[in-house]
Amino acid sequence: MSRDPFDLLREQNPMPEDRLPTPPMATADRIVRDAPRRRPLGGWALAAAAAVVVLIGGGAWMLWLGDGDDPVAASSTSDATTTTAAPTTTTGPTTTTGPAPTTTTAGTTTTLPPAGPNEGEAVIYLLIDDPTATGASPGLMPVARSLAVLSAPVTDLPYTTMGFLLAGPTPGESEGIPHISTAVPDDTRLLGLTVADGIATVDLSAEFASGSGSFSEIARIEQVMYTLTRFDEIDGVRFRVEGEPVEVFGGHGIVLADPAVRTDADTTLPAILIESPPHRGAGDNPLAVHGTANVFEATVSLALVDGDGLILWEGFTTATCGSGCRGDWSAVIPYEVDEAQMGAVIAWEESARDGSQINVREHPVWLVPSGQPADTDPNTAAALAEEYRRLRGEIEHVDMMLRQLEEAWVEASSAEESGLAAIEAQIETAAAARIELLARAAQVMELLAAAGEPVESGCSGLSVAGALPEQPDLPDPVRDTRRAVFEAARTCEWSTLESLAAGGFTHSFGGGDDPISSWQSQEALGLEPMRYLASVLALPYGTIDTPDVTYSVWPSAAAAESWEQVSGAHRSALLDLYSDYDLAGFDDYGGYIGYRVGITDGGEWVYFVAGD
Amino acid sequence: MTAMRPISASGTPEARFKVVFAAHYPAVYGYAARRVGRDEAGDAAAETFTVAWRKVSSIPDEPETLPWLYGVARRVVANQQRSRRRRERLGAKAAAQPPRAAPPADAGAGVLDALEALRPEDREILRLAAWEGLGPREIGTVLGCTPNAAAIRLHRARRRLQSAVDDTGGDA
Repeated sequence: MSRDPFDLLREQNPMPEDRLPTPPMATADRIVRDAPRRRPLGGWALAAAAAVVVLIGGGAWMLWLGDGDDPVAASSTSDATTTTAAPTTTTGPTTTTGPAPTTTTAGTTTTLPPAGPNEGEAVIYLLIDDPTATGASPGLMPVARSLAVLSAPVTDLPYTTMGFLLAGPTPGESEGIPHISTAVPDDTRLLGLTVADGIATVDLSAEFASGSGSFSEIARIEQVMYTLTRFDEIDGVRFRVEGEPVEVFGGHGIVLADPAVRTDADTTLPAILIESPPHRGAGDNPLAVHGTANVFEATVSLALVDGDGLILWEGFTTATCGSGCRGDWSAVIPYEVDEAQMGAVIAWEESARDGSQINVREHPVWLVPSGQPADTDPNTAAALAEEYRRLRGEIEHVDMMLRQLEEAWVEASSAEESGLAAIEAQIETAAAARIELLARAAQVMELLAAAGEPVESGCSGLSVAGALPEQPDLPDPVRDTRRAVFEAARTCEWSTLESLAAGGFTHSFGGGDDPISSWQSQEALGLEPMRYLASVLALPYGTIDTPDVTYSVWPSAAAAESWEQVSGAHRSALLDLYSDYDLAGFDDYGGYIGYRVGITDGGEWVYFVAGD
Repeated sequence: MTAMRPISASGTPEARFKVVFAAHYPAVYGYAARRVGRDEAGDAAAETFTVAWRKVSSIPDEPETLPWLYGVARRVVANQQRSRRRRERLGAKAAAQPPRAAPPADAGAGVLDALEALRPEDREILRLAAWEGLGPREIGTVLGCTPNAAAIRLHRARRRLQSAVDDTGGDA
């Protein structure tokens, strides 16, 4: 008679309960002292941020910020109205460094991004060094770019994607290890892109053909070709430079296929290519991974690690071809994480010689708990609500940091200390992070509304004192409208506000949806539009005379021709709503561009708006 | 301002972490020792609690705390074993020796040989049940599956252990 081996196994416990050690509390102290807790902002370090403003086709801009590890992107919020460029005009993307004119106010309290006009990601092909083969040429790698960072809706995804490609790696990517680079020369502009019958014809400026090195010339051709042929509807690419068809490219006489297709272009392909998910892309749960490889015995080793670098899954898969030919491989990786986080999928070849890892590819990838796929399921309202609370908490955290940074800036500027630029860079970073958090929170709110559980917006107007200072010189109709708007704002009486704002009312330079729903979502995001509305009306006013009509305008600074003409007393009045840093921003800009209210002398409320 | 963030009932994160550490270090050390031996168990336990400190706001309340820590320890141990395999391969390359010595065979440990012959998933679920003394619900927390799935997987693993013992001619 044999016993149940499970009972035997119990007896073989190599470390029974009674032999366990006592807890070494000194180790606990050391852990608390040495290991930082997870930062609430993930990788958004505020120190030494590099910023690059990139114009993407169509006139929208976005701001890349990197701390050498985790790039962050934010988008413009107010440029959408100024752009009329059609996707095929000659104003392709350009890259400049330094802040764009509007960034000084974009992240403070004056503008709200449109609630994420774009979702999903574009994928571009950049080059990455192989960390296991020093001296080898870098290989192609698909890299994700979030479309949510763009200020304007994407109407032509291949065109926008080319814009991302020409913009190249972010500072964080190009300073990271391994090094991510591009072979597309700086200042290359996209002159045109058409797609017909599966063939994309891309027209690039003369810079594309400039520069040196035959590898670089081949690599830039393959970067463009792989980027465009990732689209299902594009099988091949024809190249033009300054409108002229290209048959022989660059200084080394590279003969291009017509059209160029993937099958005859593999110079820059690494031994193992992870096609999906792209570098820093969004992952599903379970995670579907696929790519191509040319490795010994077609065996591709795979691992998935979480945000702490710990292994969630390890295994291998087999490509359709190997040991000298390139084959396709794929795997579906199950995993569990307790919260969404940036993990990584790693693919490598085990050296036939010594078993070491060679041809390593590592793609950071956004992992999500199961049952909470990257694209939201309406059944996950609870998860969305939790995410909304988390984002609100993070936004408040960033707000607090911003206030501290702004105070530090004011202190440093009055003391004429050095380091002002460093603080400004940190403010830019935090402001950009805030914009992205707000955009994400707005998206989550929309999803919650779609799931039938809209976020209840509070009423920030309630925090405004009830007494509205008399302004006896106002014409009667203006005085009545002012009081009516003030009372409605204080209590968030949306229906009253709606009737008051009827007609040609302006609430946003970006246009967009109706003012009421826009304010409601701003309230839900904690942006306190009703507090601003009521508070602004309590400030001193000014008047703007036009030939047809006279406007009464709150605050008085908004009626001044320039910031210089705003008196000290009237500037101080603004400190109820804006910080010294904001005022310095108005000074820098040359005028007040915060929230303002306008009422015609006939008593018609015509705007409540912020920005320039 | 911080009302949005979950605030632990037991005060500061440091205080909460130390309570968890004092209560569960021995068990986490034991878990690691059963898998990587006593020499490396201290490192594994310290690494497990380092991860736990970084995620202190996600540590679940009792009675889920220890199974959650086991889940972290499981991945820490997997990492250690991976880097040890790599070291051994490198060592083998340098010294031209076989990379891995067989685990020391305890007397009467036929069942341990059978355990080693199983798939890693089966091995782990059997150890969790036999050595850590966990039930299906706790195993589910460690492995990230439902209690029901854990019960089924444990049942199958026990069956495979039985046939592995039979195969290895164990005289159990």
